[in-house]
Amino acid sequence: MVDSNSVQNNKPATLQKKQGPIRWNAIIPFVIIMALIYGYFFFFFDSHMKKAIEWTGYKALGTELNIAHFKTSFLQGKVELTGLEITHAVQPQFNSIELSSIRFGVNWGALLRLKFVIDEIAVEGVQFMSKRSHPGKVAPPEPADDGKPSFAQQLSDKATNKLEKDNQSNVLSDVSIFLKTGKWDEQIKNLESQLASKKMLEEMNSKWTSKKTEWDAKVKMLPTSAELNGFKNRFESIKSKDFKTPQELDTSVKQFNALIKDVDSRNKQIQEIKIQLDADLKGLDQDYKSIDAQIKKDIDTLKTKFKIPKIDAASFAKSLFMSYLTPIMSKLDHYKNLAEKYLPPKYARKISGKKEDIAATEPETIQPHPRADGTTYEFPIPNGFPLFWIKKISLSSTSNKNADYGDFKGLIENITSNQRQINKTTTLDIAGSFKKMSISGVKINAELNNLKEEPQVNFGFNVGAFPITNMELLKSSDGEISIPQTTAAFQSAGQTIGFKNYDLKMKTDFSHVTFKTSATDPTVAEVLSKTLQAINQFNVEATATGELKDLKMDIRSSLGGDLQKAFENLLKEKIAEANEKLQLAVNTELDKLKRQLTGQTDAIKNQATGEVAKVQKQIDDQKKQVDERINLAKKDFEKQAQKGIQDAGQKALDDLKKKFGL
Amino acid sequence: MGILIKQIINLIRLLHSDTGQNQIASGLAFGIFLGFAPFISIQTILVLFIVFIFRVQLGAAFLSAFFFKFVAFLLDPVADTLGKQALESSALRSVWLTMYNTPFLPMTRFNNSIVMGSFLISLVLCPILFFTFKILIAKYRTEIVQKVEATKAWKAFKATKVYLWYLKYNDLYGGV
Repeated sequence: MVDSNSVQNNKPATLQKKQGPIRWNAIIPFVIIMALIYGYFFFFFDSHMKKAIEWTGYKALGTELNIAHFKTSFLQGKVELTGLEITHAVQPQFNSIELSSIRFGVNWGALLRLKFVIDEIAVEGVQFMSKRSHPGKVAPPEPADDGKPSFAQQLSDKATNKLEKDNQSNVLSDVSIFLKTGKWDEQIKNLESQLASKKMLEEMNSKWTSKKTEWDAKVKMLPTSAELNGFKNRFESIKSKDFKTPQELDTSVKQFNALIKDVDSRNKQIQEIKIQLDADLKGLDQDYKSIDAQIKKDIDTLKTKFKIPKIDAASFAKSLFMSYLTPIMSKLDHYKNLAEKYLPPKYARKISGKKEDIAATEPETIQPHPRADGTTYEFPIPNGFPLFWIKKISLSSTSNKNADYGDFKGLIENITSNQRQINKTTTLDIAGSFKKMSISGVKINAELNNLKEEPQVNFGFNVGAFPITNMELLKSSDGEISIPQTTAAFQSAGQTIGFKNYDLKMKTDFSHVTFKTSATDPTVAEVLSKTLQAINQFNVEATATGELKDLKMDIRSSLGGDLQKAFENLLKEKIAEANEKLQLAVNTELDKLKRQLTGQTDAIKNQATGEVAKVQKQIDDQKKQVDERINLAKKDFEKQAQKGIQDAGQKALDDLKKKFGL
Repeated sequence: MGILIKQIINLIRLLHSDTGQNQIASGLAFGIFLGFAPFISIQTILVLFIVFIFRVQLGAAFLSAFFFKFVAFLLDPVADTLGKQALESSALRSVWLTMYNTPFLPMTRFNNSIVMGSFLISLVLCPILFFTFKILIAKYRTEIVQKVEATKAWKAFKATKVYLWYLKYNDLYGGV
């Protein structure tokens, strides 16, 4: 056994010395840890942040992102980033954008209030499509989302209608084939299996045949002439005048009422049949409309199948410029997907069109963290900051002899997590030109307005002039139309409200155009050459409006009109003849069925309608007569009664006179 | 966990020595701040910093914080009323307004009635508790310890291996 006192007494004298109020043995490790943290931030933080941004950028954008230098100053709250390069997704040996430097300072006052505020970000040396020192890494494309068509695909489908797309229509090929063969008359003979309208007519014939049987049965249920005569006989046998006693009148009225009741019962039945007949006649009209629509659709399908070209400006415009517009729409699609992925969930849900989770809906104002109990008081914040706010991003770029940065200036203002708190909208304005690339008059402007009930985005993107080389408008085995060189001006504007309704407009004016044409068919080649040689400028306009899931797309071009005129002269008569033949072939195939159907339905219309109307009239007449006779009987009885009272009174008076000897 | 056990052993050792009254009493008194303040808040970090830097008995502070956490729940209605009165006081409004617009201070969540009430209670009780604990420790040492040490049970316990292990631990790692 060891005594504690003895243990304590045996302790060295140094342990017993009086200790001061500060715990030095805790401060030293604390200082060492702080020094290590400082050392980390001083020596390693910048390189780790550089790598983190490069990795995150690659994951977010899907293309390699490089930063030459990344420098931070914790005490000054400054960040400097130089040599930022983002690889072009399609041409990885180029950068889609290169920024020579980005500098910004974090507002310490806001940071101490747990708010991230930057007064100004300066972005300099912006360069597009600059050559990379090595090809950048590009992530493989993500698998398609449940077969759901992309935004660009939706637009494309809307523009070139599905019918043409399915048959891979191409105006030039169609014209060539049409001119070359013209032998589709043989195929017309075997139309039967290709007409959906025929099947529809057969179904309707069978439907209306059974309806006719039904109606035959119903017509038989209507009151017969014998029954109506029976009503008449009953009516005529009822006494309607010369009533001697009230009992006689009462009996007649009862007989009349019984007759009315029977007539009403049959009348009700007729009314029901009439309602059914009206409904069937309405259905019949609808069926005729459906058949007409289907026949029209069938003819359109056949025209496409037999390559009867559509010689109209809209079809030419769609055929020629869809491939020109598709890359622009793909870009839009790409940015839409990025926005959906990285915007706050509240906005991303609106873009994707998913229903908003009510529980997850956040109010616009920043709320204090909830506490189990108690009341949290809000005091006015005269100089408050939103959670995130970049007040200004200044973009500037000036070319020099070493690099063609382009000459432009831009300003992005008020990127914030809460526009309502600062009462300002997010705006973007950039203007400039790239002389080396012969691009001038670039103007980009955008505004995100979240001050309204529904967030509203307006944007515009204009390029005054830019060169285009080797633009292929149409290419097939039958020929091609291309533009080796031209200058274009591009204007676009768009608006979306609540990320639901879109309104996009694009216009490109092509000038100094020279066309290169070729066609296997000499006639087509001549027409193309003559027509397009005379054109040295044209425009393309495209619009897309409505909800994303149902965008209405339209493409127009002055070139379409010119080609329409040229081909019309050549093909007008032949196309009209072909269309006539096709119409005739379809009519021959369907006429018999149509006649059958008309026969069935006319029978229903005439027979049932006539019968029902006839019986209804007879019943109505009968009822009217009964009513009139009852009224007559009542009046007659009233007269009788009046006369009886008068006679009885006179008789009593006469008796009284006699009694008194007067 | 090792630090906590060490601090609790230190607390027992200090309780049974002639010194360290102030360390234990201040630890127990600071514990009320830790117990009454929200778990993650600026004031908790500040109190922890003071407790670590100054020679305040950590075991006592943590034990006290653990105990006062329960008391805080019981006193929530009182703290709520007190906090409301303070925050709604027109005389103090300019103070709260300044604090609300000053960096760091909103992170204390002083604008919550319970946080404010709890802070006021702990601010008032802290010095009272310090002196009360100091007196109680002195009385414990003079009256209770001596009586316990005189009992047969204590003498028997001192003969056990557990006590010997405690002595050995105290010998090796002892220190405040």
